[in-house]
Amino acid sequence: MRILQKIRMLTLAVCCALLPAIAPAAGVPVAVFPLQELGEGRNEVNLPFTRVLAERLAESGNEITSLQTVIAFMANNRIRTVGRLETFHISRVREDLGAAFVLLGTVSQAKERPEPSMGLTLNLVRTYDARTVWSYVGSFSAGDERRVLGIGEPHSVAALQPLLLDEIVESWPWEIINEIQMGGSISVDSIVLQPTQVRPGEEVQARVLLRNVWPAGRAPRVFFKADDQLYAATVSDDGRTYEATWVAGEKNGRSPVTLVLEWPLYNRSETALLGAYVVDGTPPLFEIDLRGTRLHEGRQVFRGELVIIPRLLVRKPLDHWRLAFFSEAGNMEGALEGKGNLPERFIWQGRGTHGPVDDGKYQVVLEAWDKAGNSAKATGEVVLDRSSPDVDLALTQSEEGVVVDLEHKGKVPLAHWRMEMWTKEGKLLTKAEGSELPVKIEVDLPAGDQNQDIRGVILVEDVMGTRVRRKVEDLLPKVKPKAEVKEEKPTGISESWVDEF
Amino acid sequence: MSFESRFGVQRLVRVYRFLFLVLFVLLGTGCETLLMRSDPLPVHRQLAPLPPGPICRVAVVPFLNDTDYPLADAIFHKVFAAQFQASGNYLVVQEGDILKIYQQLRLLPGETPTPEQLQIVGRRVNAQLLITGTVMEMRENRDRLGSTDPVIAAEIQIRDGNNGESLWTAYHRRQGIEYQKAMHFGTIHTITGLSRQMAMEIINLWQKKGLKQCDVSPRS
Repeated sequence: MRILQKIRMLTLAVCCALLPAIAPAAGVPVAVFPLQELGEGRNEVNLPFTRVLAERLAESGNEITSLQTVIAFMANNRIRTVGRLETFHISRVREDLGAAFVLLGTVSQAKERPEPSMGLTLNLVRTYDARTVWSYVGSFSAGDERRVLGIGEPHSVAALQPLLLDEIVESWPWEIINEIQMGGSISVDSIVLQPTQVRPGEEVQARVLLRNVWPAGRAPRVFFKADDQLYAATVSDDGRTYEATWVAGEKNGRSPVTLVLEWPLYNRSETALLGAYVVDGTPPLFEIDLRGTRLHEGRQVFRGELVIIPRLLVRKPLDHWRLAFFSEAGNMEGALEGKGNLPERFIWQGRGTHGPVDDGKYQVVLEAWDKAGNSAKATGEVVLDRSSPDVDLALTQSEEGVVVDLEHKGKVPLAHWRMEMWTKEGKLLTKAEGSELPVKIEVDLPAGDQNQDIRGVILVEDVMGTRVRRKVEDLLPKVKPKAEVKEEKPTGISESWVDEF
Repeated sequence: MSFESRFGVQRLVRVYRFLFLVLFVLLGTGCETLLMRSDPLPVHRQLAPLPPGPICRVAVVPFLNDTDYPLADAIFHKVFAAQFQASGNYLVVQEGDILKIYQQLRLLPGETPTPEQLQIVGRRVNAQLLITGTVMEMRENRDRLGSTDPVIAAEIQIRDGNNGESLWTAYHRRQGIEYQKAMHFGTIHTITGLSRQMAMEIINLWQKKGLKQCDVSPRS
C-alpha cells in the first residue's frame, strides 16, 4: 500500500511539473467553421459534430468563437460552401471576428453500415498569413475497436465520436497556438486626446484616425469609453476618423480612454487603449513669504529690494503663473508672467511697467494655474518707502543753556541715533544716544559762550539699516541769544532795562 | 525395427505435428501476411525532373473520380491534401482559392481540367507544383468477421505549376487487410484510414525520390 501511495504521489508530482508546459494559452481565438460532410453531396454540413468539436476544444482550453457568430459571418460574407475558405475570407475572419486561427474540416465518412465508421480531416489555418499550420486525418470504425467478447465495442457513429475527439485534442498543436501573440485588429494611425488634465465638468475631446476601413454594412459601431461610460463616436466622411466629446466626471483621478469597436452582428467587440486624462478639481495650494521688509505699525516696509518667496504647500506641476503689483488705488503697476513651475524666488526692486513706482502701499499678488486650469493666488501687502531717516532739531534757550529737541520725521522707525555737540572751539557740550525719538536734551552752555556757534553731528539709523549723518549747524540756524529770544516773546520788560543789563 | 528406432520415429512425428500445428494457427489467425506478403510500393514514374530547390508552394487541385463510389475523388483529395500538408512544411494553397478559380473557369469539381486551365490555376495561385489525381477504384468489401475491408486504387500526378506539365506519377492500390499484423490488429477498416495510409506511402516515396521539403516552418 505504501509503495502504491508513493507511486501515486510521484505521478502527481510529475503531472504538476509538466502542467505549465502543456497549459493552453488563453486569449487566442479559434473560429471553428461548420464541418463539411461528404455524404450525399459535396456541400453538406454537419453542424451537430461541429458543435461537439467546438465544445471539446473549448473544454481543453481553447478560446472558441461561437458557432452562431461564425454562421453570421458566413451569411454576411455570402459564404455558401463549407469545408474550405478563400484566403480573402480567412483574412476577413481575422478582421471581423478577431480570430487567430480558422479550423476547417470535412467529415469524410460517417456511416452506420456495414459497420459504424467515421473519418475526419481538419485543417487549422492561421489567419494572419492564411497558412495551414496543422492538419489532421483520423478515422475510427467498429472494426478498429474489436474487444474481447465484444464488451464495450462502439455500435454507432455517435460512439466513435469521442474517440476521434480524444485523438484530436491529443494531437492539437498547442505549441503553434501558444506562439501566436494575438494583437487587436484595430490599427490606429493617430490619436488626439485633449486636454490631458481637465477640471471636473470640463469637456474632453478624443479623435482617432484608423487605418482600418470597412465597407458599408460591415463597419463596426465605434465608441470611446471613459469612466465606465460609452460615448458614441461620429465618423468622418472618409470613414476613417472617429471623434467624440464628453464632459469629465466630478471625481478627481486618472481616467483611461478606450476605443471600443462593436460588431453586434457577430456579438463581439474589440478595444484599444488610447490614453488617459486626469480629472483635477483641486487648485494649487501655495503661499508667499515676503523677505527684506521691516514691520512698522503693522505693515511690512521695504526700501531697496523685496524678496518674494513662493512656497507650494502641496507639490503639483503648474502650467503658468503671474506676479503682479497693485497700488493702493487698485492699479496694476507691473506684472511678470512665466510658464511652468514657480521660480524659487522673485525680487522686486520697486519698478513697474513704466519705471520706478512711487513710495506707498502695494499689494503683491502671485497667481498660478495648474495643468488642469485650476488657479489660486496668494497676496501680501508691503509698503515701499525709499525715504531716508530724517530728524528735526530745534534749539531753544533755557536758563542754564539750551534745550535740544530731537524729533524723528521719517516714516521708518529708527533703530539708533547718536548726537554730539560741541562749541566752536571743540569743547564737548553733550553727547547722547538712544533708540527712540523725540527726545529733549538740555545742554549747559559755558558762561560767555552764549553767542558761540554750536557745532555738532547727529547720526541716525532706521530699522531698515539706512544711516544718515547730519550736521547740527546745517539743521538749524544759529542759536539765538537769550535776549533775542526774550525780545520775541514780550515779557513786559523794557528794552532800556535790557540795554542797561 | 528395434524398439529404440521405433521410439525415435514417434518422437519425430510428434515434432512435425507440433510444427504443423503452429503453422496452421499462424495461418488461421491471419499472420499469413507476415509470412507470405510484402508491402507493395506505389508504382512511380518520372516523366520530367522536378523544379530545382525546395518545394514550398503546392496546390492540390480537385481529383477525378473513375469509380462508382460516391465522392471518392473528394474523400481521397481531402485526405491527400491534409496528409501532404502534414508531411512537410509545405505551403499548401487553400482549397477555397483553387475552387474559386475553378468557378471562374466554369469547372465543376470532378471535371477534368485542360492543361491550359491547369496552367491558369498554377499561375493564379503562384504554385511551384500542382498535384492532380484520379481515384480509379474505391470500394468497401467485407472480411471474415464482417468488418469493412476497403480497397482503393489511385493515380496521383505531380505537375509543373507553371505550365501544368506532368512531371511524376504514382499509381497505388491497397486493401485494408493488407496491413493486418497479428490477429485482427493492423487492419485498416475505413476508406479514410486507407486513403491516409496510401497518401503517406506515396508522399514518402516521392520524398525518397527527391521531392524536397520546404524549409519554412509553420512556427516561423
